Amino acid sequence: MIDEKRFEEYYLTYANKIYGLAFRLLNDHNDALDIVQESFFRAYKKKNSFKGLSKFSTYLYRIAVNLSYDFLRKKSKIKKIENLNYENFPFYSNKRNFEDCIRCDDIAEQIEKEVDNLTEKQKIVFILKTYEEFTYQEIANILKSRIGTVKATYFQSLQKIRENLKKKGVIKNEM
Amino acid sequence: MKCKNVEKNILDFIEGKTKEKEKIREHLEKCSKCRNLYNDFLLILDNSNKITMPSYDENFWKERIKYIKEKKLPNFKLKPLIVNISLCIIFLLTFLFTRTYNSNLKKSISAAKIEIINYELPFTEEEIIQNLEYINEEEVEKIIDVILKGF
Ligand SMILES: [Zn+2]
Repeated sequence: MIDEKRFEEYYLTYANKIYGLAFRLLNDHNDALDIVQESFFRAYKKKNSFKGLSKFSTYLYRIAVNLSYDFLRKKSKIKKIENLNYENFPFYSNKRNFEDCIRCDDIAEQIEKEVDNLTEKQKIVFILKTYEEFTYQEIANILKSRIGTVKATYFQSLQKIRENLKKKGVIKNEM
Repeated sequence: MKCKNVEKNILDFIEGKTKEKEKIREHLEKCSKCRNLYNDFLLILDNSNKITMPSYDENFWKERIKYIKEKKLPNFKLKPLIVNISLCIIFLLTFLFTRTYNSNLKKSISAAKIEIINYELPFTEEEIIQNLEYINEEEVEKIIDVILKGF
């Protein structure tokens, strides 16, 4: 059971996270905001049936992932957006700290592009694991999948990013 | 330890979550193929963390929470559609009702149709008019389905 006040707390804790996730998946900030709105609306309707924060957040992420998938499926016939659309996004901060590494900026950007080239499943697992720092078990709960499958998908996503970075010469191809 | 096992455990090793730390470390010292895998994964993960996730500040979200808490209004584009549908239903019901007096055969056919409508529609036409605000897209689809099926 989650009361109004707690729901607001959870909302403020998770809104940006759900937004970031949806933005990564959909590459459009208006669409991502819609996903946030709808996910929380559904969670709000069900707020009396949650026992605690972990159940709530799992449900929230699951809804957000499913809604994003649906959205992508509907939009799949529309041509794929090449780059993340940051131009008309006023709140996005592009500041990064790379004092310690000259080529990191370049590599980070390249990786970002390669994340975009992953399959939907790989992308979602990679985002949840790397950016959102979920455990394999938590991701399995969100995706209603098995821990082994999640682990394998994560490995595949890293391998794919690695291979593509090698092809582009970002990573040295030494054998 | 074989390359295959190292590969299998490399992500846990990077996270420091494997019991076979020493065995893997030994292997990495000897095997350049696995060492490259380890170094590349490390590089990817280190740099991924430097990618900033886009975010809004708290006030932005506070501003939006009321839309979640208030009952979500149906899509405005749907409103005229719902009105039209309810008018259609009323018209068809009236039409069928009048026709039932015309002939016995027509009467039985039409009565059957009315029955179908009344049985399958989630709302009566009065309810539709009274609750225009609360009917969602799914329900409109149901109504359309029934209308298409019935006639
Ligand atoms: Zn090896």
